Formats: sequence, C-alpha cells, structure tokens
Amino acid sequence: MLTRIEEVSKTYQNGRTEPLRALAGVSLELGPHEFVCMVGPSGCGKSTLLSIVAGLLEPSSGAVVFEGAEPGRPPTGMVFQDLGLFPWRTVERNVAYGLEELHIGRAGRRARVRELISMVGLEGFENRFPHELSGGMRQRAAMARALATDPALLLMDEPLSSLDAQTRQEMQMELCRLYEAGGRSFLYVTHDVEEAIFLGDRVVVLSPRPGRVVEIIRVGLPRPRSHALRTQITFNSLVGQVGRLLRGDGN
Amino acid sequence: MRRGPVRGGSALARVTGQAPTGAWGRLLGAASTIGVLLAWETVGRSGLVAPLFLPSLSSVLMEGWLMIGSGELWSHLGASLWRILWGFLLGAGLGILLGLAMGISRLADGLGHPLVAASYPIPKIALLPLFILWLGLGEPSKVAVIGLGVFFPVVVNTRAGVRDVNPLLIQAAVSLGSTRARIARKVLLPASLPTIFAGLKLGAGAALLLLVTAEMIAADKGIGFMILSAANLMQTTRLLFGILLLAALGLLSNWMLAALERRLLPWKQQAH
Repeated sequence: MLTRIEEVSKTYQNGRTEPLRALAGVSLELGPHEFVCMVGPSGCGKSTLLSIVAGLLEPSSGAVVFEGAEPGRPPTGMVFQDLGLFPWRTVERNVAYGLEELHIGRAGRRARVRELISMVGLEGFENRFPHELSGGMRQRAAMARALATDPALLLMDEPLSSLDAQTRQEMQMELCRLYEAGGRSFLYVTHDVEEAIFLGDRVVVLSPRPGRVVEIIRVGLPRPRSHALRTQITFNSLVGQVGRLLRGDGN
Repeated sequence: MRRGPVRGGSALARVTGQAPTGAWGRLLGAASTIGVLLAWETVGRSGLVAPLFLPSLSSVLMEGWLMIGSGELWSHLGASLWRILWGFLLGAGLGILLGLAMGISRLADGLGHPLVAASYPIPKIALLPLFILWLGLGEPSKVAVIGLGVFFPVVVNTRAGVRDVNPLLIQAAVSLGSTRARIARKVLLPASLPTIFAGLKLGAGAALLLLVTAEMIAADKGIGFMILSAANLMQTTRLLFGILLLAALGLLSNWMLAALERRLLPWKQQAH
C-alpha cells in the first residue's frame, strides 16, 4: 500500500478564540515498507497529522490517499500516546477487539491473538487487566492490539515517551524487529531525535505551528539496527543535523 | 534529632482517617455491633426502662420467631419484597436505558435532561397520592413510586458515566474499525458501568425508604404497615422486630449489589 498525504492543512475553530492553525500544507509519501519518523517542536501539529491519517479527524483542506489498500480492512492501525487500552478487557480481549470488529470467528480470533501475544512477548499475561501490567507491558499490549487487523500502515504517537530509559531502548529494538520483519510501514511521531534516527529510514522535521515540512532527512543506516549504532559517528552527526534543523539554525 | 521509625501505611491511615481493613477491621466491626446489642439486652432486662419503651433484644427476637411460626411474617415480608423488587427492576432498567440514550444522543439529551433535572428534586413520596388516584390503592401505585425513586439516581448517574467516558477509548475503538452502534455497546456501556453501579446503590437506598413510607401510608400488608400498626397498638417488640427486618433488608440489598459488582467489574477490584 502506498500512502500519500497531499497538502494537508488543519485549522481548529471553536468560535470563542482565534482560529488555531495547526498544519499548513503538509505533503508526504510513504512506500509499502518504510519507517518514517516525524519530529518537531511541541504543538507543531504532529499528533493532528496522525489523527488525520488515522481517519479520526477531517483535514481542513488536502487529503490522505491510500493506494492499493486492501478492501474491507482498516488501512491504518494506531498506537496512542496514552495507549487507550480498554481497562475492562484483559490483554487477550484487548488484542481481539479489532478482530471482533472485522467479524472474524472465535477460532480465528484465538489463533491470531495467540500469535500476536507471542510476537510482542506477553505470553503468560493474556488474562491480566491493563492496570495489572507494567508500563512496558501495556505498551506491548497496545501494539499487539493495533497490529491485530494487520494494517498496512502503523501510526504511533510518541508511544514510548512515558517509559524509563532502559525499557524505552528495549522497546525501540522491538519496534525495529517488528518493522524489519516486513509487511508494513510505520509513521512514528516522537520528540526524541535519537529515537527518530535509530528507528527511521527517513526523518521528517516539522516547523513550529502551523506545522509544515522543513526538511526530510534520509537516515541510511544499515538494517537490522542495533544498539551499537548509537555510538557511531554517522549516527551522532545525523542526530546533530536534525537537532540543528529543529532549533532552526540551518547549518 | 532522630525520630522513631515511621510506619508508612499506618501513619497515612492516621492522617487520612482511613478505616482499618482486613481481620482487624472485621473484629472491630463485630465488637461494636455485639457491644450495642449486649447493651440493649442488658438495659431491656434490668428494668430501668419499661418494656413498653425498650423491650429486650431477646424478646424482640422471640416475637419474630412467633411471627415466623404463625406465617404472619411471610405475608408482610413477601409483600414488601415483591414491591421493592419490581420497583427496583423497573426503575433501574428504565434509568439505564434512558441514561445511555441521553449520554449518547444529543437529541435525547436535549429532550430528556431538562425534564429529569426539573423533576429530580420532587420528593417522590409526594407523588404517591397522585399514583393512587391514577393506579388505585393496589400494588401498581407503590411499585411506581419505588420505581421512580430508583429511576432518578440511576438515570443521572448513567448519563454522567457515559459523558465522562475517556474520549481516547472512543478514538481507539474508531481506529479499530468500530461503528457508532458498536461503540455504544462495547465501549460506552462497559466504561460507564462503575458510575451506573454508584447510581444503583443510591437507588437501592431510595427504594427501601419509599417502600416503608408507601406501606405506612397506604397498605394492608408489608413491613412498613406492620411497623405502623404495631406502634398504634403499643406492640413495641413487634415494632422493633420490623426495624431489625428493615436493617437486614438493607444489608442484603447492599450485599447483593456488591456481589453483582464484583462479578461484572472484575477490573475495578484492585483500583480501590
């Protein structure tokens, strides 16, 4: 599936305050197997863009087009910053939610849920409720839930921002593994430049509000990615480059 | 300067006045209950107070035993249980349905909420004469007034519960392909269930209150009627037995609601 974000703008209007321009003509294309990270100062409309791509929000102008999307299935899956796991459902039943909505039978659901749970490493926790899990485990559950319907594009909104440093690096490796196994693209919002470089094939730098694309950096580091990258000169010079773009000093 | 060791949990409990829990809490509760009952029995037997004003606990229980034997108890208790059960089921069912509708649909809320807000403050028992006029002296008027007393806290809580559902959960459901109707059933209902239960508990209290009052005003059977007629005949033992019966009924309804809540909301168990 090819995803084309075409000149998407968004202005929030509530009648009481000045209209708020969140996005001003953002265009971006994602191939069928590509990891694209978006960084930008807070309030630059990153999350707004994700919501628009996910179909949760209408753009004020512009469009999002999915070319070659499989009919009868949501083209995107979303992992929210605050996860939004259903607290009354166990891990297993959270993961099964999207499958229920696709009217997949009990046996089919069970097999798929088992596969996903082992994929994210939550075996043994199937019957726990979200509040009985650690932050990292909740993260894995939310990921499994979004992956259940096998979306061609996975949208992630700062999913690791609430984790401690060690768990975050662990989850970054998991994400790389998940992506490198193939089959889907990722559009990943973060404010952590190192994370963006570590995960992404391309890093999109957005301007302060209203958000527009300042520059797209091709990362070009070898895959599969490993933690050893973090000490390499190329990695760190990319981090420096993106950091300078974010601060607005071009050279 | 060094201080003694601080025991975190108990220090917090002292500051916030939390009730002790576990075996110690149960022991305390049993001790105070038994203490009051013992004091009652002692005063009743001592002759300090005339039995007409405070008969001993044992004579009250004896009265109950006799009423069980004569079959009189069952006719009163049966009538009361029937009324409160139907009243509760009707009021709760309607309250949940309309509360969900008002929480979900702006149209339903626009139509219903002003009505509910305006009629909530009416003391429900004041409507009993009207219901008797409309429905007659029989059971329907009592069931209706109990139902109404249950309906209001349930409808208000259900509506509030639905409106308070975290929008993120709805977004998550949409992103997973849910339609509007399925979101109502699979997200809004379970998410607002804890608030609905709070309404049901308030409703159960209202139901007992209205049951007794309605039975004191217009009934020839039931615990309320039994208490009032015992008072008229200066049968204090019977009157007090009626009150013990109401206490048991209140405890029973609490306990049943708590059991249902544990069953339907296993995910809330560790949250409080």
